[in-house]
Amino acid sequence: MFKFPSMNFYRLGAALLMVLIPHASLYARSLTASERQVVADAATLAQTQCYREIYRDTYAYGQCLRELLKTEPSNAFRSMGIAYFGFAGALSYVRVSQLGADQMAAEFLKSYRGFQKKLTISDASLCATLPGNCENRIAQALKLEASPVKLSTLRMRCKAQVCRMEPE
Amino acid sequence: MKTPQIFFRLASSPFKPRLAGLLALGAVVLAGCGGGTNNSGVSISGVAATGAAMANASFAIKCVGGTALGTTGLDGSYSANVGNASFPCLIEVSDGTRKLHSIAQSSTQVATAHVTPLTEQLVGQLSADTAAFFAAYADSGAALLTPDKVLAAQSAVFAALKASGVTLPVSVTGLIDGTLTAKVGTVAGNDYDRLLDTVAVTPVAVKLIALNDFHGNIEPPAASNGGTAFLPDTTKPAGTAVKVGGAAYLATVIKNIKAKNPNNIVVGAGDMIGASPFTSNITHEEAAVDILNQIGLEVTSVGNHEFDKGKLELLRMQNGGCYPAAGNVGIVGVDTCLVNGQFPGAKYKYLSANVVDTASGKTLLPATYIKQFGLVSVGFIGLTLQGTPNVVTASGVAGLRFDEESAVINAYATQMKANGVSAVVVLIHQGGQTLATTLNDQSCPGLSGDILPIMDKLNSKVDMVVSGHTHQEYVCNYKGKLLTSTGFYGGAVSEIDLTITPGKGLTAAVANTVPVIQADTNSYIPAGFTGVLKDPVIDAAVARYTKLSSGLSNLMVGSITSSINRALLAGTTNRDETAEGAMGGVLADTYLLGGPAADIGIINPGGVRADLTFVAPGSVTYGNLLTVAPFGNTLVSLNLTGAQLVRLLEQQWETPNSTAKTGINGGGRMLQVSKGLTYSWSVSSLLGAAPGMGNRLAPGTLKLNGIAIDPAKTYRITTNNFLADGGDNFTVMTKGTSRVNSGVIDMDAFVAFFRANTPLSPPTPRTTRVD
Repeated sequence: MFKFPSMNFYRLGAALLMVLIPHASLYARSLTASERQVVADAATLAQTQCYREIYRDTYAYGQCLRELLKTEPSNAFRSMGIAYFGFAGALSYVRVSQLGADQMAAEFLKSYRGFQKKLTISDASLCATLPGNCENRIAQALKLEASPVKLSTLRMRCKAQVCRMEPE
Repeated sequence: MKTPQIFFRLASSPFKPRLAGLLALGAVVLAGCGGGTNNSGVSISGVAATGAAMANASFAIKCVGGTALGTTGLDGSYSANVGNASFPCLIEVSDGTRKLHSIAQSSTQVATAHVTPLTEQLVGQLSADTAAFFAAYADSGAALLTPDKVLAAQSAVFAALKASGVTLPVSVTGLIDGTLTAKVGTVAGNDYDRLLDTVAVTPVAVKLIALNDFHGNIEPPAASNGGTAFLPDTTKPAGTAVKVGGAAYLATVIKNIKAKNPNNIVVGAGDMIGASPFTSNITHEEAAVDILNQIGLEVTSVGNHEFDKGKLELLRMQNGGCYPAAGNVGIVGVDTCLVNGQFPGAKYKYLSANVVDTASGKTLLPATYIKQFGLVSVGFIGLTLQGTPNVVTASGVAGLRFDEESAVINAYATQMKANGVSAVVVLIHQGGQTLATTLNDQSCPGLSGDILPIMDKLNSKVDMVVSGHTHQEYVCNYKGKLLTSTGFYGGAVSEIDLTITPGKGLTAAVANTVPVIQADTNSYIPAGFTGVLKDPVIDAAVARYTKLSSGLSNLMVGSITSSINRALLAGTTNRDETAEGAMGGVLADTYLLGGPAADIGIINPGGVRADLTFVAPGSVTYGNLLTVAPFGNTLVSLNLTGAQLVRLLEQQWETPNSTAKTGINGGGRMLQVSKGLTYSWSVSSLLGAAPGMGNRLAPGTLKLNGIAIDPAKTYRITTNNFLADGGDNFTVMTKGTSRVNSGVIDMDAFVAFFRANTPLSPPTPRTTRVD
C-alpha cells in the first residue's frame, strides 16, 4: 500500500532545492499589476515617512521603518514594499558610505527576502517597483548576502594622550 | 545730495537724419519731463543700446557731488547736465527688465558714455556686483574709477571678446566713448551696434566646481564613514567601491578641473565646517578654513553646522581674528591664529540670504555674490534651511531669523536678473535623496526630499541649484532646472558646465559627479574614472595641522572648585551605575544646554567614563574632559510624553537592567538627569519587574522645575545617539518622536559648557532615594 512520505522527507527535499537552485530563481513569479501597485504604494509611504531620517541618523531611519512595518495593516505585499524600500534607500547611502547604512541595508534585505520568498516574487519584478538601476541593485543585494556586513565597530584612536572612539 | 539739474536733448552720437522727426517727438516729451540746465557741473551724453536702442529707458547718473535722472530717447540716446558735480560718474540705465551700467570720465566738463552690455562687463571688471556698486556709489567710490583702471577694465573686456572668438571691428576703439548708433526699427546700427548683436548670441562656457558638507574633513575620512564611494563598473554589475576623500586629493581634483576652463569658480553648499574631526575642531575650525582657502573655494552658503558655535564664531570664520582667549584656550600659535600668528578668516565668501539679524533687519552675511566670466556674469544666492534653529544649539542662533527659502531665492534672483546678471545659481544647504546605487547616475531615480517643495516654488529667474545637507550625491534635471549635490566629507565634487549667452542667459547646463579617488590607495579603479595623487602643498598643510593638533590635549578649558566624581562603588574608583553621580549630572546639564532647545538632558551612566579630580588650582584640560566623554557621540533630541518619561525611568530597575549592574542601590542602571528634573524613588518596590511593570517612582514626585510631570504632555529630551537608539535597554527612547540628531558632538558641547560655567562645582543631586 502506498504511504505518503513523512514530513521530514518533504523538508529534506525543500532544503535540497534551496541549495541546488539559485535562490533568486525560486522567487520566479512576477507581480500582478494590482500587487505591484500595493508594493509601490507601500514603498512610497516608506520613502515619504522615513527616508529623510537617514541622513540625520541612520538608526532613526531603521526605527521609522520598523514602526511602519508594525503599524501598517498586515499585508505581505505591503510589508514587502516597506522593507524593500528600506533596503533600497539604505543602499543609496551605502554608495557614499554613510555610517551604518550598510547595516540598515543588510537588515532590510533580510526583511524583504522573507516576504519575497513567501510571495515567490522574482527579484526583477520586485526591483521594478522602485526607480533605479535594477541590474546594479540586484547584484548588490546578492553581494551583500554573499558577504554579510560586519557589525559596526568603533576603535580607540589616540593622538598624543587624547583618545576618541571612532568608526573603524 | 545735490538737487539734480537735468536737460534732455537728441543723441550727440551720429544718427540717421530721416529719424530726426520721429526722435524729435521723444525729445519734446523728454524735455517736458522737467529740469533745466546748469552749466556749472558736468555734461554727459551717450547711447544706451543692447544691439537695439534702449528706448524710453530710465537712466540715473551719480557723479562726485551730484546726481541726475532722466529717460532715454527713442534711439536710446540720453544727455544730462549734473550740476555742481565732477567726474568720474556712474550711469545706470534700466528698461524695466535689465539694468546696464557705464562710466563717464573726462578731463573736461563734457563726456560721452555709452551704456551697453559691454560697458556693463567693463564696470563688472571693477566691481562684480554692478548694481550694488552703483547703489552704493559715493564720492569715495571714485577711487575705483581712475582712467588707468577703466582702461585696464576695457582691455579685459576686449580680451574676453577675443577669447570668445568675437572679432572686434576696427572702428570700435572704445566701448564707452566710441561711435555708437543703435538700431531703431528696421534701420541698422553701426559697427559697435552690430558687435553688440554678435556678443548677445556668443556663448560663454562657465565651469562650476561644487562641494557640500565638507565638515572640516581635511584628512581622508574613515572608509566606513564617507571614505568610500561605489562607482559603476562595466565589468562588475554590483559596481566597485573605491577609497575617496582627503583635502590633498581634493585639491588635485579641483586643480585638474579648473585647468579645463579658465572661466571657473569653486562653490560650496554649506556645512563646510562644524561637526568636524579632531584636527579641525581643536583649532576652532581654523585648519579647515585655511585648507579651503588654499583649495580655492570662492563662495559658499552657510549650513546649519556653521552655526554650531554661534553667530559670533561664524563671523570670525569669515572676518578673521583669533579665538577669544580664555584660560589656556585661545592662545595665539597654539590653538588659534596658527599661521604667522594670525587667522585671516575665510577668503571665500559666506552667504546667508535667509538669515536675518533681527536687531538690524539685515542679513547676517551677504545674500549674494556675483562673478564676471568674460562677457557674462553669474550671480550666486546662498542660504541655509529654514529649519536650522531646530538642529543647532539655541544660543547659537539667538537673535537670528531664518526665512522661508523659496521666497528669498525668488526675490534675489529677480533682482539680480534685473540688474543685468546673466545667470543665477542657488547655493542652498537643503537637499534631496535619490535611490541611485552608484555615483553619477543621472537618471536621478526616485528623487525626494525637502528640497523639492522649494524647487517647485522657484521662479524662472533661477537657473540652477547646488544643494547639500542630505549627504547624498545626485545630478538631476528637476523640471528644467539642474540640481546637484556631491555627498559629504570631500569624497566627490560636482563638475558643472554652464553655457551662457549675454543676450539669452543660460542656454545649457550639464554636470557630472567626479569622485575624489585616491590613486595611491586603490589597487583597482573602474574604467571611466581616474585616481589622483595628493597635492603636495595641501598635503604639507594638512600634515602640519595634524601634528599640531596632536599636542593640544593639555589645553585648559576651565576649572573646578572641587572634585566632580561619578557615583563610585565603595572603596574603589569604579563607577556605580546604580546611583546618581555628580559627574553624570554635569554631563546631563551639558546635553540640556549644548543641544537644540530641550526640557531635559539625560545620559546613560555608562557614558560617564571618568571623574574630574580637584588638584589645586583646579585646572581642567581638554584631555581631562575627553577621558570623561571619549565616545564622540552626537546629541539627539526627541519628544517623550510624560507617561513615556515615567516608563523610561522605571526601565532603570526593570528587567533586564535590574541585573545589569550592581551597587549601593542593589541592582539597576540609573540614568543621569539634568537640573530641574527631580524625583524620589523607593527600593521597597520590586527590583526586576517585567518590562513595563516597574513601580519604583514615588507617586507625584516626578517634577520639572518644581511642576509635576503631566503624563499627557510632551517633553523635549536631549540625549546621546547611543541612548536615543535604545542603548542599555532603555527602549522607551526609541518611541520618541520628532527625533533630530543635531550632529553636535557631545565633547564639543561639554567643552562649551565648561567654558561658559567655569569654575564649575559639583551639582546638587536631582533624585532622592526615600528608603
